Amino acid sequence: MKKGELIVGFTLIAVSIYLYHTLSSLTWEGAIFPRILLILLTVASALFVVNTLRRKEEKPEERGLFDDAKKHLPQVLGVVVGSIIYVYFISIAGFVVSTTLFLISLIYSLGRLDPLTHPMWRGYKGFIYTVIISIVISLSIYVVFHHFLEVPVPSGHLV
Amino acid sequence: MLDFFVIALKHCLELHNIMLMLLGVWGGVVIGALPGLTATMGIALLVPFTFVMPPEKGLILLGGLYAGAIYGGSIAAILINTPGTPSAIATTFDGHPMALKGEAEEALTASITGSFIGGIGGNIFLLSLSPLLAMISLKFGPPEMFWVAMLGLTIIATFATESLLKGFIGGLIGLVLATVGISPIAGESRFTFGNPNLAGGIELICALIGFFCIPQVIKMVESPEKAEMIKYKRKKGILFRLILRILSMPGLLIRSIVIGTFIGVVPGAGGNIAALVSYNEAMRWSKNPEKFGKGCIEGVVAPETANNAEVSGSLIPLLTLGIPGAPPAAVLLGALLIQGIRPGPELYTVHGEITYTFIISLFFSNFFMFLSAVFGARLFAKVMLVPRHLLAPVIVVLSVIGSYAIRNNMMDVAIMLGCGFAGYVGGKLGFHPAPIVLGLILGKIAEIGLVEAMTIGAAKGGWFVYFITRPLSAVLIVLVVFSAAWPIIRSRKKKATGRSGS
Repeated sequence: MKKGELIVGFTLIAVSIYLYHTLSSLTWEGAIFPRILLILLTVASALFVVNTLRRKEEKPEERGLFDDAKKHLPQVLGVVVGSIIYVYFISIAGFVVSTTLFLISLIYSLGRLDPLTHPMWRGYKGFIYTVIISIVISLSIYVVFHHFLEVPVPSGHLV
Repeated sequence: MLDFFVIALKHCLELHNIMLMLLGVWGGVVIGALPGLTATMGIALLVPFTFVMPPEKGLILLGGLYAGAIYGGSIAAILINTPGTPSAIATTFDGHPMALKGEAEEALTASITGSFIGGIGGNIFLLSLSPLLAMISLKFGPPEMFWVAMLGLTIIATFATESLLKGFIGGLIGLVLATVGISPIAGESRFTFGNPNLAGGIELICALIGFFCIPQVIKMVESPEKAEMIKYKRKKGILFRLILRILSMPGLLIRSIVIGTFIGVVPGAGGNIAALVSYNEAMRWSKNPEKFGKGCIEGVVAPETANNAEVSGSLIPLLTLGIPGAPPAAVLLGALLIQGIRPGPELYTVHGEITYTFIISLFFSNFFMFLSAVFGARLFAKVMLVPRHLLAPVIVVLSVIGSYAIRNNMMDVAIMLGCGFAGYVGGKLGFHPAPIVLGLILGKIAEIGLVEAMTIGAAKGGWFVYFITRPLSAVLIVLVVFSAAWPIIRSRKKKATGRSGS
């Protein structure tokens, strides 16, 4: 916890000072409020860093903060990296194609990685099942938003 | 007001609106019952569905969803010992032991009866108090609005988080995020780094979806646990007996309603705190407190009544001042702003029809929720079996489409994801999203208040004097100072009693 808190504290100080500098060309009406905020944020973060450093080294916790995440690293990375690729891919391939691919890969791999998953999601049949479900979900979201609600859906070169 | 009342009642009896209420309530109960899906998340993901609806219809749907989700959390709390939504944490204390004793049906009935009474009670407060508060807020000028924003921030920094400093830093981060884009007074761009997509600022709903949905998804996949659901048999004839038994404890009910409403009004303290406080008070006032925790019906009724009273309570500051009393109310604020409606006194005059329709619809939604839950709790319980590896990716897709749909901008989607990842890491380190989001909401109010008050004050010779000498300002300043000093006083007290105790 301590290491993470120090990283957050120092990052906040650095970002605040940098952002403060970008305000130099503005009039006072535009700059006064963010200036006050950034000064306060720098002071508060510095206080936070000092507090963290002064705090006695805590007894080693039984479970680290990110233990769960480390234990299930493939799943967590799958969601984080998968979402980033998915969002990037939407502007190339369009919503329906990217959503279907995203759902197939994530539903199938998350299901495989979890020992508690119901057997019907596994193996060759499970994959076919995942593909069908993914196509149904992405198409129905598209139809509901695009046709019924007339809410814009992100588009790319394909659908 | 009476005119609005009649029109609102008429609107609520339209078939289309009744269908929206049912849809909202059912959707809410399902979302609430699914562990990992919170009320805030449900509302945030469904806001895009309300874009095309007229404002009152959108609000009817989202209001039903809010009430339903807060109740729905108790189903998971009772049957699988996992709160379906954070507000249901206290319900696990006695609800699950009851289910283990073979009294699942009794626990479920107690929870819906409590939720219903709490919802109605809280809504009576909303209906009667909010117009009065709106009248007071009519007298607020720029300096008052600045102090109201400060009050919201000091309260949240003190209430919601374990560490005062972390809450304060979170609030400041939110305020800084609110200043991204074109400045409201001078019209200059700030922190946009030359990217025109950032000129419009950070869209509230996108940030909310990011902060409240994405961390939830990551948590879902990092701790895949399978919960055992308790199976139970239907018992006949217990419904009326139980309702009578619950109604025979008016003290507990009224206390829970008042606690829930009051904590709902306080920004940052949400349904979970309302339920926990109500549970503790019920135990403190009980003649046999040793029964609590072992499956006593009061331990289910108290938190469930309070967390549904909190729903309406959290709407009081939202509708009158534009300051949400709880995270789900923050999403409702975003939904209102998208419709071009700014909360404040105008909601009770110009937009009175919309506001009163919304408030009255909550009475109806609570009623439908009661009926649906009494007859369909078993069906709702079934949805808890939806596998998580299916749920998590679908939530990501809905988050993406929701944040895109507001301004048709892929930048918003990227910001949503950024907020989500930051929210996940921050949450692990004890930085909760609630203060950040409140800062984001209050930033504009605070800035406009500050700069306008300074300009007017300077013209009157001395902005400082103008800032603090108006009577309403003075009252607000006292409140700000008090709420900022309170946690320090409290921790001193704790230390003092701790020392004398040892």
